[in-house]
Amino acid sequence: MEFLQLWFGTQDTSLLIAAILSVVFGLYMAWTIGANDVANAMATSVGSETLTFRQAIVIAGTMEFAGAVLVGGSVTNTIRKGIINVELFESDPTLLILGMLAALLAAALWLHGATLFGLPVSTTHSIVGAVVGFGLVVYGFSAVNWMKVFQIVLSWIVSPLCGGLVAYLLFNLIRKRIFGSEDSDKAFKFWGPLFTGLTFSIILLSIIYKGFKNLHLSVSPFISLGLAVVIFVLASQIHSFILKRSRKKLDDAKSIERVFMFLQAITAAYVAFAHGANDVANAIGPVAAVIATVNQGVVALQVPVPLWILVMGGLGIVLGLLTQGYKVMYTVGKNITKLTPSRGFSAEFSAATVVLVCSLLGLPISTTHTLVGAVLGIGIAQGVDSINLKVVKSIGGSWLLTLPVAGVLAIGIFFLLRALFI
Amino acid sequence: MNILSKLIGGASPFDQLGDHLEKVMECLEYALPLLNTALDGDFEKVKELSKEVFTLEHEADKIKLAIRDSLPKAKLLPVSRPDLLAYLKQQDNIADNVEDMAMMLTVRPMQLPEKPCDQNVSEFKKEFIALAEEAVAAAKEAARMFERLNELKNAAFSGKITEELREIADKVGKHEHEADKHQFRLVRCILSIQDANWDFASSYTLLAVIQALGKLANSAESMTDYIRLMVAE
Repeated sequence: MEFLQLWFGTQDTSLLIAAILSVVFGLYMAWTIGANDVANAMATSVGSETLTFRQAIVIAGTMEFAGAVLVGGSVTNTIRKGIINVELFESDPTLLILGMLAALLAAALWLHGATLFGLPVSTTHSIVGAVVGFGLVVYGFSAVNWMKVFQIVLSWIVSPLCGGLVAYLLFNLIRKRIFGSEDSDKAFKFWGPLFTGLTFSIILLSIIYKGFKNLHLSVSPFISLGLAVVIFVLASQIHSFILKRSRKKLDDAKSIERVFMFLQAITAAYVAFAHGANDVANAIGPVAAVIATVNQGVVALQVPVPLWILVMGGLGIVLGLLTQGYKVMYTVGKNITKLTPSRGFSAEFSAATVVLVCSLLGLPISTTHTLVGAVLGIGIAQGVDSINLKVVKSIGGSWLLTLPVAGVLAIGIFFLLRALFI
Repeated sequence: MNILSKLIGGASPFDQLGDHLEKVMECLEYALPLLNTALDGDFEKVKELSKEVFTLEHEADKIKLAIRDSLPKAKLLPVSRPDLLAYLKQQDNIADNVEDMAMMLTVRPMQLPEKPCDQNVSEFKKEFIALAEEAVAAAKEAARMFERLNELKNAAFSGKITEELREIADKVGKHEHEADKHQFRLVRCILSIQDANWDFASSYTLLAVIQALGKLANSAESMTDYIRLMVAE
């Protein structure tokens, strides 16, 4: 008990309970994220038998955790301080605490329920809907920063579009420059290592750019750029070396696809990293808000996200992956074998890049929907046998549904909590 | 179910076309034996073989319908939907023409003219079998072209690949042209029969079988046309 009082920095029992509840709800939210979303990152690799099931779980867990802890901090701020005007809550911090608790539980419940019914629901949409919902009932229309909400809604449309565009261009390049080339062996040995180097340097740059803040390290732009170049050269040279050592000639589509498996495995890890970086915020943003308010007794305009909360979010996601995610991954992997390694690579590379760039800019976007956009882009580039466009409709439906449902749920839970606490 | 598997799950139209083609080719295997047995005058055997053809054609039809049902407008395909459906129709025509031929041959035993075009009957039979062989060869080459397309569609449809497909299409064209020549000679022969004892119904049966074989070769050629349309960028 004393330890908990010390840890959360408060003597007040109800505040302490609130802090503990926020951690519990945050873990629940992180668990649902891990249980559903993670499958998307690794499924194509499992489907094409690039990775075994066990390897996929280990890589996904490690990379999700790394992404969450190293880069996850930056989006957290946007959710917390962007959508509702926290100044309004200064007179009564308890309301903010209860609201955030309600938002967390509502989003997690909605996600959990929707998954059971097989609805394509975005974790990001759920938490935004829930936060907006409680903001509306407590302080009315003006409590919500509508410009910010509009920006976020816009990014939901823009991110699948960007994912689609990048995937379209990337896949066309692969198709024309590698598959369609007169000497596809030489072409792959040029482009393959380039993609590998790029993947590694983007991950490194995002860790330096955002992640080191969490670790309280500062690196000058010159050094970080230099490091990125070094890792680019190193990764591409190693890949080049591996390619040269296997003396197989890459002159037909099948053997080219086989070498794409390596790239696919790397980008699957990249997606897991980007997903961890982006989506952990949905679980821990509200937790950070509650903890900071409990700790300081007042509503702070800006709070640093403590490392232990990021770690907790990462652990929650990994836990979800271990308990439920593997089931989803298994079924998804079986169903999307039609995405060959070159297509899987194109989709994953594009989605992860767009998600990472958006989360560095502080925009909470939907990883799943960006990946869907990327797969569509490949479909438009004539890379997939058939794509069911009805799913795009159901995504639209889930947009319309998720915001109000999560909002209403949050309102209900908020009133329940207020009755219990006050 | 997860959104990604919803998005690209379900049967691939190309796999389904492959299944349909398999049935059609099974049906095609009966074309030559049917004609040979009919020319030999074994009417009972013709009826037996025809029964197999009718079953296979019906099975091919069922797959065709399944493909049509699984291609709603809300599907994004790598090739144009009208081209794909038109191709399917031509592929299905192969089985239909074998069926037409089988049907004509089971109505009544085949009668052959005694001295067609002042040749003996064995020359006429040879010409007839040659027509069937060319038509069947055209269809088999067309099937090979689809199978190649199915293998190659994972790569870009460019350069050497379209070149290879064009070569197969040219072969089909040659077979079709040969079939046309045989068809023309056979029809001319039959229509020039002056025998007073020769009845028109026999002519009609022969002409219908010849026409079915000619159409079979034409469908094979159309298949290649649509594959080329699908591949063209």
